[in-house]
Amino acid sequence: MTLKTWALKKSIWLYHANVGACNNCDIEVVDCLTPRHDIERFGMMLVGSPRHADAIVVTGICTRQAKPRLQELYRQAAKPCLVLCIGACACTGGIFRDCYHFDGPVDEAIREVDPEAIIAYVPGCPPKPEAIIAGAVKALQAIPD
Amino acid sequence: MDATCKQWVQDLEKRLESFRVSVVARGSRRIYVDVAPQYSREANRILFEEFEGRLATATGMDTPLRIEVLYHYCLDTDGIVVTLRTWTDKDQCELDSVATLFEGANFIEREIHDLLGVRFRHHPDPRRLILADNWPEGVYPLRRDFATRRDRTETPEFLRELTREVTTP
Repeated sequence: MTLKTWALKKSIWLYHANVGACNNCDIEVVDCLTPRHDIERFGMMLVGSPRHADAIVVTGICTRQAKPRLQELYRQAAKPCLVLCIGACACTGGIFRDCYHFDGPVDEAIREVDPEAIIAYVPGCPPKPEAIIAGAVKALQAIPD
Repeated sequence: MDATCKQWVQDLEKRLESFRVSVVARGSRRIYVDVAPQYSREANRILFEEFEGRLATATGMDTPLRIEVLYHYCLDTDGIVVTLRTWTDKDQCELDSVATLFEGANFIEREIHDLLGVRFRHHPDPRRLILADNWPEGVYPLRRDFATRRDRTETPEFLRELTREVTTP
């Protein structure tokens, strides 16, 4: 295990990016952070800048307007960096995939910047907080040593 | 229709008589007023200033013949919604702005322009509002002629397989 991956796995700091969500997934993300599920006990904490983040938590369909901004966020995050696609929209585009403003899905937008990106998918509309935590755990396990 | 609603219909008909409007009540709390485009701004002013209607929102619609813009006013004292419907033909596609009367119509008219392409004359700030920066000019996504859906007439491969199995004896 390199120093970088050791440091990454130690305590994940999250940057939350809404790229066109209906706010439902965002509420579930907040539910993860607040006392009931309290993922801060695992060292996971919301931060205000992608430069401090170990994982980018993405909700929403990735609209035309948001796509270049999401890509810029990913570029600014220190690598290695996880991407968590929260919800059906972020995973596939969901029911909005034929809409005029759709320019995703999120994984394609990220892979345009970094083909090797580690992306976890948490489907659901919205996914349960338990599912989000499970997704984060699986993403951590996927990190190559 | 209850008595309050009936009273409002009569008042509106009387006040807007010179604009040759049609006032129709649908349900006990909903009134529709159709007004020709040349009178729409003045009718809006009367509804806002004299009837003290509060502009809840405005909506736009692309119908087969014309583009309709509907201004929805709440009459808060009686809990009644009055919808002022006006229209414009698709070639000209221009209406008088209501945002010159009150600021509340500013953003919703910009949105209607973005999505349906209705130009609002004398609008104080006719910039793009909700479409993406890289969206092409003059393409209006909520118009009927905007083909957004993928071609659904084409049968997907797995369905074609299925039909072949069924039809083959």
